[in-house]
Amino acid sequence: MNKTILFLVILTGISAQLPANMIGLLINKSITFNREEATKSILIYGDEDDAKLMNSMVKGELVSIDDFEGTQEYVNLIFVGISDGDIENAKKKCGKVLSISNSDENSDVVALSFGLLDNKRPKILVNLAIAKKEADFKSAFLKIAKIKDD
Amino acid sequence: MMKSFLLFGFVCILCAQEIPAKKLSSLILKTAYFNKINNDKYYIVQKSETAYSKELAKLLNAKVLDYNGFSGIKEYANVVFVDLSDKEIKQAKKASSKILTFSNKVENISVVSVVFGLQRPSKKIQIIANLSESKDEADFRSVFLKIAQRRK
Repeated sequence: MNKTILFLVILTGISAQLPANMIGLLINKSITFNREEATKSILIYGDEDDAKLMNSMVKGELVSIDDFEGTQEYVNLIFVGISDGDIENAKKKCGKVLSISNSDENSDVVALSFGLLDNKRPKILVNLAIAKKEADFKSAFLKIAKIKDD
Repeated sequence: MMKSFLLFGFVCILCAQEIPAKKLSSLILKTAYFNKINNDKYYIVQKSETAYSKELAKLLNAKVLDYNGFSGIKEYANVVFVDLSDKEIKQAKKASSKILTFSNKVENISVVSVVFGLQRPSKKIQIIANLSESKDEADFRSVFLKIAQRRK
């Protein structure tokens, strides 16, 4: 049993994450490239502290995963500290939304997710199969990771 | 204890579904076509030959390189890493000049530009682009964002 716990701890340790405020900035930048304008952003959280920090940038609505009842509006649905399964269930309660996660471990179930590269720069992942259904990104979005002095 | 590990292994096998070589080759060709940096060279880097990598090499008309003894690729090319770990891919990339990198394993998304897999349990095609890597490796046309779009 102890070994199983150790294994899970190691797995958790491996998944490095970008700071919440940095993800907030990247989300703001990303959504400007979407031609389909969302009415608002909803941050669905498992981790309230991270969600609050991220929301200081995003300026959306904070909802706990347990309280989320779905939406039929086109919104930016931002998952903070949520598992794949819970994200899938939350999306089932919604109409068309743009799904975003603060963790690259959710890249299978959201259009856009963020992580941290070895060199501590942001990792920006786009699930193109999901993104085609959820957004209409401008071509410049492909260069979102470009830094001016690159 | 043993049972937990066996169960975990079984779950991992169920989750990791490999995209058929024919579909993978067609998506790689399509992706390369969307790259403004023109090139028609394809390489496969692998540790051992399998029926899968053999078929893929044939479909892409790719040159096959063995990871053991790999000394890098010194021309701009489309490079598909087959069944390699993140660490091995990083080493291979370090030894190479600018290349556009792909993997047949979704788990390699941190170290390559584009990965392909199958979604579970629907088995729908999964295409994930790592924009942090692709900005250095390619110059994609906007239609690349619609690569998963089916023709109507």
